[in-house]
Amino acid sequence: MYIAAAMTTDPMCLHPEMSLRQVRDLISGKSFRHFPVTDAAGRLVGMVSDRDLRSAFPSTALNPTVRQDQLERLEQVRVESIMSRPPIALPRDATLDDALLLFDRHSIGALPVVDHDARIVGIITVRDVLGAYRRLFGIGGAGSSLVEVLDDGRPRLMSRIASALDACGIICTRLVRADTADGPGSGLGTTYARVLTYNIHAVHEALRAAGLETVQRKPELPPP
Amino acid sequence: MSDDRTLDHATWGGHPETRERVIAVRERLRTGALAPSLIEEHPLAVGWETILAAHDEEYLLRFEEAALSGREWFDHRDNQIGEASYQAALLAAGAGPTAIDLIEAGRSPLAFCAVRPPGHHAERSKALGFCFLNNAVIAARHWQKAHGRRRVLVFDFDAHHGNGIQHAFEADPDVLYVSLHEHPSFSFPGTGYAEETGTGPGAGATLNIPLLPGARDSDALEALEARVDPAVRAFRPEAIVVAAGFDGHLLDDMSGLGYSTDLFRRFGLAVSRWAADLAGGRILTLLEGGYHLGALGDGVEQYLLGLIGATANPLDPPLAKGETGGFNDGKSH
Repeated sequence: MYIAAAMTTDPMCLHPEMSLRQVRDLISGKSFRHFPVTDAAGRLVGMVSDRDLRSAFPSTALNPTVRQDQLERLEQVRVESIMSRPPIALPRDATLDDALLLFDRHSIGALPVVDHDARIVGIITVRDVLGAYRRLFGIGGAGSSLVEVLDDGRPRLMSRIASALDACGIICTRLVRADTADGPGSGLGTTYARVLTYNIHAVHEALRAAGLETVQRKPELPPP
Repeated sequence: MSDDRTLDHATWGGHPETRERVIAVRERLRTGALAPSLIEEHPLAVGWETILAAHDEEYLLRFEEAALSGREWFDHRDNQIGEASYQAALLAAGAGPTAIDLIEAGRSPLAFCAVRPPGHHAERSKALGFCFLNNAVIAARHWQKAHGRRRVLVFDFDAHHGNGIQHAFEADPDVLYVSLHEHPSFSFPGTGYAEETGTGPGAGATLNIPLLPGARDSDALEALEARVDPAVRAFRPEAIVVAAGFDGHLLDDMSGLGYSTDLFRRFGLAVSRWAADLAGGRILTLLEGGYHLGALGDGVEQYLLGLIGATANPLDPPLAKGETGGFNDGKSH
């Protein structure tokens, strides 16, 4: 649940006094989109995004002579004049939830990660966080199925699900409870069990034998 | 194409993948509408060279060892095994190449392999979802290597995504893998999202069509017509391998799909049209899932009737404009 495993360490950094011309040469051919700006001691002083850079560069729609002229002027423009500051940063021991909430609140694409002395140690992007939550929820790997169990209003729903599956030797890797109805036909709420088995018939049987109501969205049989 | 020795692959304790599945299919074909045109053949066990196109040697040795040493399951408790399972899997994997050799020799234009264990979940070095050897991957590679049919379509209508087939071919532009299955957010094995479309040189040669739980014939047919048919025609396969699973049927509780038996006839009809128009009639079909014995027997029979065009309903809309439909005379190869 910590960002350390999901972030990129040793990111490419810019310096405040670099000219945009130098930046252009430095990042040419690279696919990074967010650049921490650090001082001589490696401390974070700002952030520059590829969007900031694009706005500072002359448009390709310009007359070639005018554009060339403006490109040459970029020699005079320093990183510090376009960077955002004070930068929003995460400490290196931040959690994925910290990152998610900050991304959500500030509508930004990447966050620098710093140590106690504000020295840059990494960068984490929205995509990194998505990937980390994907792994956390077990999405996309081969070998699992998701089973929906309806909330029957009785206590200990999660433990009853876990025990029923455990008793039948069915490996359950996640139990996620949605407090609100999810999808057609749901009532009080739904609990999703991610099970590592193809034998979904056995899973429904095990849960039903324990008095739990599972959801199967099979259409009704046509009348005989 | 079937063999009694594949029945010896033992499962127990209410396991859905039983020997009765193959028995049900054979009984239906031997006594039903197709009985007069049925020719029964036996597979040769797959050769080492052929199988190595799909699996690692270390994995095969590990599988053989597990079966012969009396282990009860392999890689996962789902994958029950007995002493005869390794040999059964070699025969199931050999059915495709044996049938392909017959097809190419002009013996029989349509081959249906009623074999088990199934194959489409098996990965290169991992058994998964009752599958040990990937019968469809082995067959497609055999078609390419032994007979020079370079462009192969693998059409998978099992209710579950064929992760093993996709992973074998996702970087290969010469094999188009098309799968119609219950949505991976809910269903085993949790792969086969629409956004998985192939990698590297194989980009665009994987087509996944996830259907939400509760989907019916109309949902599958709409996808078949609007998405699958144009993709197959643009790809122009020289041979077609069908991974045929019948667990999308309304009566089969291993999926949330609600297919009727007639949909399997429509799948057969679509395949026969592609084969006739594009692939010189070369079709190999391998049994994958299907766990409700009655629905399985009915489904296989209807699929095959669709394949030979015998019961083509004049009301069936054509899958593409200007084609004649039906199956060619099988002499084109």
